[in-house]
Amino acid sequence: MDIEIIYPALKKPLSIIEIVRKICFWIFLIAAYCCPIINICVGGKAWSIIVLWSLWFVWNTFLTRPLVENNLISQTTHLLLNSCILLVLIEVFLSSGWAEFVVPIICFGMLVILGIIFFLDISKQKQNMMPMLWVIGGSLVAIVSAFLGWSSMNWPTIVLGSTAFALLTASIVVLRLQFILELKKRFHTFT
Amino acid sequence: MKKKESKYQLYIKALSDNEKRLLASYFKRLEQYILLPQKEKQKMLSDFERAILYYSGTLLPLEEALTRLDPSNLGGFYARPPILWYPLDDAAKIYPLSMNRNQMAIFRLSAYMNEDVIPEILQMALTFTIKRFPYFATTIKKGVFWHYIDSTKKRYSVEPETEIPCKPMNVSISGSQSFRIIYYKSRISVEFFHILTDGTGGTIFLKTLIGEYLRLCGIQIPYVDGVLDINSTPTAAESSNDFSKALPSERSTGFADKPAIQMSGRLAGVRPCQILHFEFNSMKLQAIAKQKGVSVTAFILALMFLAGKAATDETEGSIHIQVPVNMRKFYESNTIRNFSLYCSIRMPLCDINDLDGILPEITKQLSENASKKSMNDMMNATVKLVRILKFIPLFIKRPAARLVYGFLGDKVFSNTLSNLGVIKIPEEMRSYVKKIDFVLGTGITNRASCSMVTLGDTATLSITKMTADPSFENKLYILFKESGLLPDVKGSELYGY
Repeated sequence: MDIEIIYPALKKPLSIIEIVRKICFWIFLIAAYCCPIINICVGGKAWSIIVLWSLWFVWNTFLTRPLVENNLISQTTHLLLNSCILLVLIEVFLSSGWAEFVVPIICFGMLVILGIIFFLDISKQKQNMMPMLWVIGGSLVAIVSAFLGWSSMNWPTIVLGSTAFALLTASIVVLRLQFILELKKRFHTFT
Repeated sequence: MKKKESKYQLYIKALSDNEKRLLASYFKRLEQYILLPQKEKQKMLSDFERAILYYSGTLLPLEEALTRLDPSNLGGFYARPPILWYPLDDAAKIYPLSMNRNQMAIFRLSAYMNEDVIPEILQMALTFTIKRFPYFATTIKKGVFWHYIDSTKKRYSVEPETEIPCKPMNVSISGSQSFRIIYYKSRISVEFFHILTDGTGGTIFLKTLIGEYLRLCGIQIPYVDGVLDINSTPTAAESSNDFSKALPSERSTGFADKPAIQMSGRLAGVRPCQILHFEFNSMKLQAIAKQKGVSVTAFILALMFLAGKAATDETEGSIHIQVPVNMRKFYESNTIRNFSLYCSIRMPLCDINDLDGILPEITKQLSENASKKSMNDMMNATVKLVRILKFIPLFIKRPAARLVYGFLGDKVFSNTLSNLGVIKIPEEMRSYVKKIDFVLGTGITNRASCSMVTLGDTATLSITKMTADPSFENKLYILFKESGLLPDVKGSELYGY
């Protein structure tokens, strides 16, 4: 069977990122396998959980891209979420007593960055604002729970809550009906 | 780019004062239609300049060139903010849930023109055509419960063909598009991520794009046979989810099935690893099928069963071939989005012995499984499933869907035959389009997927391969030859080998 070639020859691209990804995958996999075993054998604090999460964090943040919605706002939000979980794990499994200060400070910093990204290019970023709204929502939950006495009230939480409220108000004022439309799109269940 | 701009400057210098005035007022008017970010606007204006330069090279009078490139063909598309959005139709919902970096449901439709494609004109044709298909000018987004497509106003671009056909697209970046327009020599290809449309919708887009391309080349094509008027207003019916048209039925079929036999070749690292096209005389193919007393689809399916048996080392089990069914056959529909489902044709290996022996069973299964009643049952099952899942958040649905899709969507089939049937194009277009082919993207474990389309005298059966093992296509070729059809075989080299 003779085949007449009607497609262009493939220019084989040397994808360095792909090679790095593959190498990292195996290194991470070996580390993820070894660390819990060593931790169990040696005993002591559960440091391997932090290693496992850190591996996932690096893989998820730097070595893979999301298949849908890979934009500055969503990436910053992922970074924030993963960092906060890492900090909480360190607090729980290694040393305690600082996370309730540090986590709100980091969230505040990230919220400010998200706000800057959003307002600098509002016409483009309004379609990407949902992850920022999740962070705002989370921050408001944090301050409300502190008010209700479910968690401790401290100055970083107050700063975080007020920044989140200000950012939410500013978004609503600037976007008005488009804000509602954006929520409608994101929460739609009909077809 | 700079060189081209300087060429354009030189061209302007050579114009008469009257022509200069004409061109200046043209661009002034054009800019009113393009209210995009500066970078995008500049790219689009350059497209117009390149097209004008191309026309000047063909000695077309400037006035005529500007008439063909009339800015009113842009409508308000590039001047209005993106406010439209569309929920995914019921068939499309699974695709973003099940995709991964290397596997996406993509299909390609290609038209072979009688002359090499003019990229400058193709770009303009796309710029004018896309506004007629606002649901394609979108970016996929994540909702809390479902994905949706959000309109994106930008310059949609054509690209020369340099990559593997049906290569997964990067749909994650802000403003990324879920389709590609590619050209190579005389071929214009459109690749769609299945979330946007099915083969029928894709064909309408391709025909409209070619119609506009030919108009820009000075050939008037009437708006008939699926060629849409790019300046008409898109209707709500074109973007509707017509799965809601399912008639109530007492039973709704499930999607689960027994695993099917797979061909034995090793899965290739690069997927697809080869594309093959078997071209036949459509009259002869039809005559042979008629002589056997079966439809063309049944005849091709029978050959695929025989070739599939030759391509596997398994001795027990059954071959299942997935056959997509166009639901527009059964329901009045004008949708350009997905409106197709599928049925399965199954045959135990021990029963697959000779062509004449399996044809009656295939015909029987086709008439039963692809009947309106069966398809309506499946449509009901799809609608019910969507309803059940509608309040489950996406982050839970996604891992579950990937698992289930991997198990149900691919392993339960050995192969696919998607027959788009006979494509009608306006008579005026006929002498400029030699043939059309249709290529399916890859699956997960299926070693081959077949698709077929007929334009005029040429029927093209395309095979998308996931293994370098040539047993399937070699056997298929022999079977066609034995049946009295000598196909012209065209295709790609083996990628990654």
